[in-house]
Parts: sequence; structure tokens; C-alpha cells
Amino acid sequence: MMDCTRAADLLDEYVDGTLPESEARDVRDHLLACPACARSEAGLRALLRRAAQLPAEMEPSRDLWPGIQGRIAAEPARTARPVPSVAPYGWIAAAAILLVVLTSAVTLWVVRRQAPAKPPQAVASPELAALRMSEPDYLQARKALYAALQQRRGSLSPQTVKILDQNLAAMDQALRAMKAALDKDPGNRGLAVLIESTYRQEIQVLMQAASLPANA
Amino acid sequence: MKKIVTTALVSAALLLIALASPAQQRIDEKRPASPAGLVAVSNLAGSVVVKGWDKAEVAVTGTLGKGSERLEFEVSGDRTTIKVVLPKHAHDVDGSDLEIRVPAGSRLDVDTVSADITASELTGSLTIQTVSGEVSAAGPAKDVNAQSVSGGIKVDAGGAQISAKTVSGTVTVKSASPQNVEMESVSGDLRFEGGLAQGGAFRASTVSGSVDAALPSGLAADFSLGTFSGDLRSAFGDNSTARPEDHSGKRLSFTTGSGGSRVKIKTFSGNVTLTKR
Repeated sequence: MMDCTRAADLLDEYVDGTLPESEARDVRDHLLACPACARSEAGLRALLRRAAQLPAEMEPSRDLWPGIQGRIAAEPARTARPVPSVAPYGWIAAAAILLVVLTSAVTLWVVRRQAPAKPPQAVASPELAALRMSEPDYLQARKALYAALQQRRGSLSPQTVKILDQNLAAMDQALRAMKAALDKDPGNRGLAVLIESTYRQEIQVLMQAASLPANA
Repeated sequence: MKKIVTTALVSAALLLIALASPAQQRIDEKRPASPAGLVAVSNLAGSVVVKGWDKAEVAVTGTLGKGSERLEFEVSGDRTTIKVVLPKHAHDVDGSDLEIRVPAGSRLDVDTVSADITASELTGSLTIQTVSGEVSAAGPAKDVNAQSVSGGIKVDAGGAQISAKTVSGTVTVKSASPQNVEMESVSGDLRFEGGLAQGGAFRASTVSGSVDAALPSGLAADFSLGTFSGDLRSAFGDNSTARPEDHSGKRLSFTTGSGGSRVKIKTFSGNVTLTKR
């Protein structure tokens, strides 16, 4: 009997109808027996129905990197602006991760459907188009979590703040290097995928930091 | 007389200081617990050592660090909570060292900031999260999910699912035949030694860390290896196919035997080395 991890791996292709019949049957059997995976399938199908209304041609969004660099380069010691009333951190974190995971899964699936099988070299790869589409959502989640972390900095131990700052800076540097490489080679699918996974890791670290207790 | 009074005053002052700064406290407590329940442990600093045993009981021994408020140790239904509670405005608090025995079939959830974590002899699932603590998970755990920011992660487990993610720590995984292995880092090195269950999947992804994987020489798998600017060496497949294609970087895609399992490795600048074992 197929397990949930394997079913999750194959879910995109199953919904797309591109799985070989024997695997599709295994996924179908698993979905009948697993309410959690069945909910994932229903959620994905619902999102795809909405995503089907997206335009067939997707222009890359504006380059957001200058804005990101400016924000990240801000001195940690700078006094934080008052943050507007926001939901509790747990809600932000849950919303951030859900937004990021679902958006990237959907946009990547949609782009793969709509992009030609072998895109011409001058055209961005499906993975890059998906990254461009999901990037605003990542940045929005990232902004909320950085604001949450900024509020918390004074209550964390200097050692923890130093480790977080070093590692977040390392991720930012890595993202900039990969983005620069991708700008020169927009068809490089591996790079687009690496950038998206680094974004996800950054969100995860920010979520972890935002939920640290006082004196951590 | 004056000397006696001065001595008495100094002694009294030292006594007051000692009372105001609680010393380390020894811990030795037990509670009955569900054989396959959840055990959630939270300890910011110090160490957490968890071992499975065959009793339907959770036992906590060790030392509560100087300045800690108390140990919260509660059982509610099939959930056991063990938490080192610190005062709200704590200063100069020492780490606490916890040694915990839990029913071997428990699901373990450990959360620390800098405390090192060691878990062994457990058959349930392990979920471990830390900022800078060192993580070591060994034994027949069903699945292991470990995350750190800078702490190193070592997994030597016989379970089906292994996920080990870090930003800058080093990740080392040994496992005989897991179904799924996922290793991820930004700058930390990733090392794997083991096999894959039939139809299993191994994924390793890093920006600038290196990936070293030692896999069985007879592994039947579909390989997809890629690096943008690192070196790529594989004892599997034909290295002469590491061509740039139309894009920058190196890529190797090939199938060994009848395929079935999947090996996917991606880096930006880190080196990739696959060896046969």
C-alpha cells in the first residue's frame, strides 16, 4: 500500500492525469483510504480551478531584489517602527507557510501545463516563471516575519541574536548570488528551484525565531 | 567586638546572596505515561538526552540550571510535557541537563535553543528543532525530522523517513534502507552513507555546502545530479556526460540497473561526490 510521502510526490501528476495507470490506481487507492491526502487532493483541485483563470501569458514580475537588499541591509540595531496590529505570531507563521507552500505548488503546476515542452532559450523556464509568480508571496511572508522578529530581538539572548543574524545574512547572500546567476541564465531550472528552496528555508528560520521564548 | 560584628554582617550578606541566587537543583521524577503517546520536551540551554525503555512511564533525572524557576512535568491523556521554565526576566541562568527515559514507542518532540539533543532506542517518530544545539538521533525510530539553524545534525537510524535540515550546520545521515531521505542546507555540508528501499527517494540540496553520498554499488535508481559552479564526481553513471547543456553548470542524468529509486542532488557552488559502498 502506498504511503503518504509517495502519494504526495505523485499528487501533482495524478491531478494532471499524466501518471501511468498502475501508479494512478495506487494513488487513487491511497486517497480512498487516507482522509488527510484526500483533503490535499481536493484542496489542490480547488486551487487549480481558480488558477485556471490566470492569463496564459505570464510576464515576470518586476524585479524586487533592490527592495529586498535595502531592507535586509538595514542595521539590526535600528529602532523598529511600530508594527501595525497583527494577528498572533502563530497565525502569521501558519499563514505564511501555507501561503508559500500552496502558492509555489500551484504556480509551478500551472506554469508546467501552460509552458511549451521545450521553451526557447530566450524564454524563462517554467520554474523561473513559477518563482516570479510566488516571489511576491514569499516576500510578503518574509516581511511579516522579519517585523515579528524585530519586535522580539530585545528579549532574546545576544548569542541567539548573533546566530540568527549570521545565518539570515548567509541566506540573503546566497539568494543574491543565485539570483545574479539566474539573471544571466534565466533558463536554468535548477537555479530557480534552489532559490525557491532557500526562500522556504529562510521562512522556516524566521518562523522558528519569531516563536522563540524570552531569554532564548 | 568590631571584628565580630563585621564578620557577622559579611556572613549574613553572603547568606542573603546565596538565597537570592538559587543553586542548581537535582531532578528525579517519574510519571506513568502512554506506551505510544507524545512526549514534548522544551529546554533552552544545557542538554537533553532521551532514551527509550520498556516501561509505561516517563522518568526525568538531571540538574535544573542555576536561576531556573522550575521543571514543568505534566501528563495529560497521552501527552507528556517536560519543560524547563525560566523566570520572566531571567539573567545569568545556567543551562539545565535533562536525562529522560520514555516508553520506546513514544513520539518525541524536542525543542531547544542551544541545548544539545541526543535521542536513542526509540521506535516512534522523532521531531527535533534547535537553533544551535548539536543533534544526535540513533536507533530504530520510525521517522526522524531534525532541523537546526547552526547546530550539527547526526542521524544513524533505521526508520523509513529521514529529514535533516540546517542552514550552516553539518548533516551526517547513516541509514540502511530508508524509504525517503531529505537533506537540506544553505552552507552546511551534507554527508550520507547507506542504502535506499526499493522505490525509495534520496534528495540533497545545498547552496554552498558539499554533498558526499556513499550508496550501494548495485543500487537501481534514476539519478539527477546538478551543480551550478561546483565540481561533480560520480562513481555511478558516465561522468563524461556532465555537460553544460545549453545552460551554465554541470548536470548528470542517468539510470542504473532497472531504475525505480530516485537520487536527486542539487547545489549552487558546493561540490557533489558520489561513491560506491
